[in-house]
Amino acid sequence: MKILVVDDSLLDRKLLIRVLIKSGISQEILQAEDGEQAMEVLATNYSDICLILLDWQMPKVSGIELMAGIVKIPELCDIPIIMVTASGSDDNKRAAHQVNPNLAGYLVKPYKPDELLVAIQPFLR
Amino acid sequence: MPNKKINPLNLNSFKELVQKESSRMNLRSYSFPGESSFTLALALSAAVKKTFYEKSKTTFSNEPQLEKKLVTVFLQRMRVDAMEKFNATTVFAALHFAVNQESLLRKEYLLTLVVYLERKYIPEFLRLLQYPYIDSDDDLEVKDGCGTLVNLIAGQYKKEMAKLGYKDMMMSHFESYINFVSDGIGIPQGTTEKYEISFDVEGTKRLVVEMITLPMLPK
Repeated sequence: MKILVVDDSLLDRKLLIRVLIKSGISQEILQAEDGEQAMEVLATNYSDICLILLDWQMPKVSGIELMAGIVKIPELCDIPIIMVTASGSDDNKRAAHQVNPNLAGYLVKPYKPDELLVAIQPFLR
Repeated sequence: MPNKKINPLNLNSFKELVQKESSRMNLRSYSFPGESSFTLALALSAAVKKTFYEKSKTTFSNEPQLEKKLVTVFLQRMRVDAMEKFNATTVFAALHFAVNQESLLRKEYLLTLVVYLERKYIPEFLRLLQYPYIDSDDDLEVKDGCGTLVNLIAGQYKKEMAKLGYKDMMMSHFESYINFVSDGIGIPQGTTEKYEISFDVEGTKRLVVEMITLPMLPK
């Protein structure tokens, strides 16, 4: 199974992937730099994706918009999503949970590697 | 589902659905006047300090210097000549706040942040935030690095603003440039002043953050 990382910051994607690789996580990692590109990746790879790590603020289609669509699509709605964003306000967290009541996690940047690993561990298969 | 045949999703339907669901996002309304822009600048200064302190216990060598300056506006956008900040090659990244996603798309900004860093120090700043090494000679990497930094500062700034009782605002993604941007940076309409906050490392100015805000923000 694969992990999809969606973030417009190449540096944030690199950091996240480095943490995953250093911790020995062997899942293949797919990347997208905005919500639109993530849709393309999901449309053809959804059956192989076990987890989405999703930034909020991105060009074209934001993370919250993408998530609002994902939860309405039967083929995608069961894929766990963890938001990984610099916006850690309570309002943002509430909004994310409103859009996706089954949100698997909400990590605020800059996060500690251990926080990321704890958040993703239950969803790796 | 190991043996199940998988059909690709219809991408157009997917995009239409995302668009439709996006339009149902909640609007946030304006209310009464907020703090002065000076208070907002102080909160920004605190946000920058916390961004570094919380990650690596890093502190700046002096208290940040706040200066109110005039914005050079052309066609409702702010002219930027970043090299004047450090007299060296400078990378800068901007990020906007608006009431909601729709306002962001219409460029109806309430507040704009711009972070300036001397190019050669970007890897060091990112290292303090425990990011991987980047190559200061690589244009894409330094622009991305500076954008990542404005994103982190903006996230922390939202927390500081929430403490002051401001309504949560929507943040844009970042845009980043080297030395100048030909058509300027979008700013809140009608603004003519900005706060420039300078941060010193070992006694020398190494980081500059600008805040351009409307006089009243939603509370």
